[in-house]
Amino acid sequence: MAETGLSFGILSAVWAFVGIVLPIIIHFVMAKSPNRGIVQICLILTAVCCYIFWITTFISQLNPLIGPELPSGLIRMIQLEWN
Amino acid sequence: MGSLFRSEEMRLCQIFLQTEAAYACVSELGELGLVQFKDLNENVNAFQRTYVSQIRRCEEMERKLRYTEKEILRDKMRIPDILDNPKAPAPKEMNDLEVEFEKMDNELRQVNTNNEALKQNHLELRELKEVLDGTQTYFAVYGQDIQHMMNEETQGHEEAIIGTRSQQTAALGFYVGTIPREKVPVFERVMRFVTHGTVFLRIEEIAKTFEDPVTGDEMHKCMFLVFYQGEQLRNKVKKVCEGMKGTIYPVPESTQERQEMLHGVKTRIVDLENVLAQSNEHRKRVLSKAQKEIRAWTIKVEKIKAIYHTMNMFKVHLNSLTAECWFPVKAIDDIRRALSIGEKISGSTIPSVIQPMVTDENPPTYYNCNKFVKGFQNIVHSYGVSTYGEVNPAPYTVITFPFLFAVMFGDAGHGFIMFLFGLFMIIKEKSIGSKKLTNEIANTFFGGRYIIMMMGLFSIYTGVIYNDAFSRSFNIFGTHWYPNLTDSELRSSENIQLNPMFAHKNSSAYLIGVDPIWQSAKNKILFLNSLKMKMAIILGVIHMLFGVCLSVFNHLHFRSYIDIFVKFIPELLFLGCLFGYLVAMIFYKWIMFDASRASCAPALLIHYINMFMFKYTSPINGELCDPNLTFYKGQDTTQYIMFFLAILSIPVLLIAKPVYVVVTRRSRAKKSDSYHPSDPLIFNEVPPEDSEITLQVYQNINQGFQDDGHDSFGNGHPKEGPTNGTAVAVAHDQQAPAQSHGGGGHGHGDEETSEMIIHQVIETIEFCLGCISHTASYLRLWALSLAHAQLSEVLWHMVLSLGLTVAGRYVGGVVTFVIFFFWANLTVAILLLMEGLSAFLHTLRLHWVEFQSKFYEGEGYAFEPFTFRRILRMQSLEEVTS
Repeated sequence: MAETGLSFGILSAVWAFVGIVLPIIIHFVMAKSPNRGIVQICLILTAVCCYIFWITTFISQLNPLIGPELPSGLIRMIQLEWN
Repeated sequence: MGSLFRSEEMRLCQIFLQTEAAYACVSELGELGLVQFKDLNENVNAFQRTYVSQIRRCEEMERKLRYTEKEILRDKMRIPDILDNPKAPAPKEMNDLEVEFEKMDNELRQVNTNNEALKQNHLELRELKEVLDGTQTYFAVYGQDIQHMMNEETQGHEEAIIGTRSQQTAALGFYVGTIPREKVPVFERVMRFVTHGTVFLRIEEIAKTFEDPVTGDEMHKCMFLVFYQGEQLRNKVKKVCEGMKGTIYPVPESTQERQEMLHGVKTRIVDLENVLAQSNEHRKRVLSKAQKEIRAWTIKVEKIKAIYHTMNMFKVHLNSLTAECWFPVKAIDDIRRALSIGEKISGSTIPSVIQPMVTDENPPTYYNCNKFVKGFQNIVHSYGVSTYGEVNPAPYTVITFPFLFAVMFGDAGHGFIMFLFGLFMIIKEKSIGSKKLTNEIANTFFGGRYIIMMMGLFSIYTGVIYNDAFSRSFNIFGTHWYPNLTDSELRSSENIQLNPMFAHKNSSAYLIGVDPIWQSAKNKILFLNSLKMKMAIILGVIHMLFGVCLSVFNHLHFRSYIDIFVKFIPELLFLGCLFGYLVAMIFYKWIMFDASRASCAPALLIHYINMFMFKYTSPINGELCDPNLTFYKGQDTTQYIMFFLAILSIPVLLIAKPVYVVVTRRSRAKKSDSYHPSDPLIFNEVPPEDSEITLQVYQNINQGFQDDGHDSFGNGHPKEGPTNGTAVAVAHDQQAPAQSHGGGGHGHGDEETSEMIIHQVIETIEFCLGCISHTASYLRLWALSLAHAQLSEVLWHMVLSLGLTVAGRYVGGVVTFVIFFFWANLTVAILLLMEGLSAFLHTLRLHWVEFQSKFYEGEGYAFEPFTFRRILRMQSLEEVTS
């Protein structure tokens, strides 16, 4: 559970940085540039889209209802190598 | 948000120009490229306009330049591109250019005609030489026999012929000539038919080919020898030869004479070739002189023509011209500067005057895009140019378009290749852009380089999330499935399905993306289908909600606040209560149900249908769980509320707006019929005639016209008139143009009530049915990503892994090397090009129909300024269509 919370927190922080903190920084760094607005929009939209995409995939796998059907030889290898 | 949020503010102005300064001013404005002129002489025939003669001269020059260009290209000489931008020359210089072109044109034509005559001569001489050679050989072989025959024949015929003909001495004569090889069989047949086989015909092929002087094609010719006897046969033979377009050459009978002739012909050929070479030299000299200058000349002539076409649109007065133009308000300083430069060049002392006008026309839509956004703006405009003042979907399209593409494309490897391709085109932007590609497809790809790069970038991300790179998954963070099966269990069957209760730690998941264990699972598609379909619905509902929210800005801008309550809120409720609730249910099921309660996990589709049929079965304590039972407390109440909120918003959408409009119209009609000047001037409304303000405006304009004769330009405008650039006295409140749908329009031909009701009904039905069908339409995000993943997997399993699974240490390497060629080609052709195009198209449709129908009207017209940019990008004069 803690691991889940950690992963959730890290990823949310990353996209929050891209979508909230960066636009604010850009607001002051690019104060004179005519492209400031479009850069901010791009950053916010990217963060929103990518975050939704990631979190949907994450949540859908938290409590799976079915498991993968694997050849038994492969399961042997997995038990050896990965676990 | 910059200027891309909505269209730039445009102004319609009149410009008064001095006739002498007009040409230079228009030239400067053309270089600037920010002004769109209106045609003030629309009803004037093209041939009766003021500057027709100048345009005719320009077209003459164009014709000569085109001829020269064709000649240069025929000699395969390259026309160098010029880097700088030559300005349109003054009218006086135009005369010099004309003279120069005339000279060049005449020289070229003369050289060409001479060349043709020389080549024709050359051809004949060469043919003669071949013919002489041929006859020489022939007679050398058969000469004796023929002499015999000629003597015999003479005798024989003297005895055989009776009648008057017997008096003639039948001499055996012959004709020699050439005929095109294709005509030989016909020639033989005709000859035999005409002469009844009484002549002797011999055909010999000439090995060398000759060049046709006119077309330059190669011709194959054959030499023919016809031996005839008698005058009649001679005429017949001659006619046949001429009819078949064969050339007869006078070849003497005796060998000696033939030798002399051959010698003479050879010398003449050598001389002629010398002359030809010199003539070609001269031609090359003329052309290379033109080659350096021709691009600059072309541009200059095109610019002159464009300027005169524009000046034809102005109204002509005694010594001034009036122009009406649209331009963005922000560009007023640049325009003033351009005009002053033009005046300085032409040496005019009287400045031109810019005067704003009031109009009820809709201004053109203009966006000042940088090259990155331009591609996306073009995509949006392909569907329809935004109405003036409307919210622009393009800045959001910059990200949502590549993102939705990537959801459908979803492969990190393919995305990486696409990204590199886009990056390559961007880095080589300058060199490729200046090369002026002629291939249409390459041009299209180059124009969309930023789009391709973004699509590739996002595809890499979605590929990482789908854990799919060339159909392979990566285990970077450690899988969260821990199978723990004993040996006997493993031996019991071929395939085993892991139970998430034992093999998966609850409430934990692979850090980024789909768990890599699914790649090798037999029921991978089952899991991925569920994930991708739900993802598609979630993304779709959020995208549409975003679209509906954007419509608020439109309502605010056009001052129809009622729309917010009567249109926006019901739409939001309908979408949110029905489909937003579905999304919420999806997330709820994901979070609250795990494998231990797998049998209780609700079948969302069934529950959704039951919501509309009011069918609820609560779980009874002690009994087994069932997917059709309600799965949270208060579900029926919540669903009833959601359903009725959504249903109630439909009549609001349907009726509220027409009712409101009718009521307000009736109440306003009851008020007194006066127009208060302090009311904000609505852009598409012309104040009624009795207003004093209108009078003022018309006075200004009329005074401007009347003052022409008195030349009071130097003093600015008459007393009441506004000076350059300040807002006209009419509009007190020029904040934002408002489109009132029938509000306050007395004297205006508004829509009738019935029309409005019908319009509203159509809109409501479109929205409600559209919501449902569009939500389902977003499922293409799932469908295409499934197709892409499967194609990718097929290519892997059926193509590449054949090479990778070959036994033997070194053979496998070679086999893989060969198979990789096929795999790579198929990947690029099928997966990158075909799937890329397909996903691009579907994303386009999603944006144009599903997203934009929620807020976008797109009934404006684009701003097309008078600019020379098109001329500078022209490849050759062939592109000039006028």
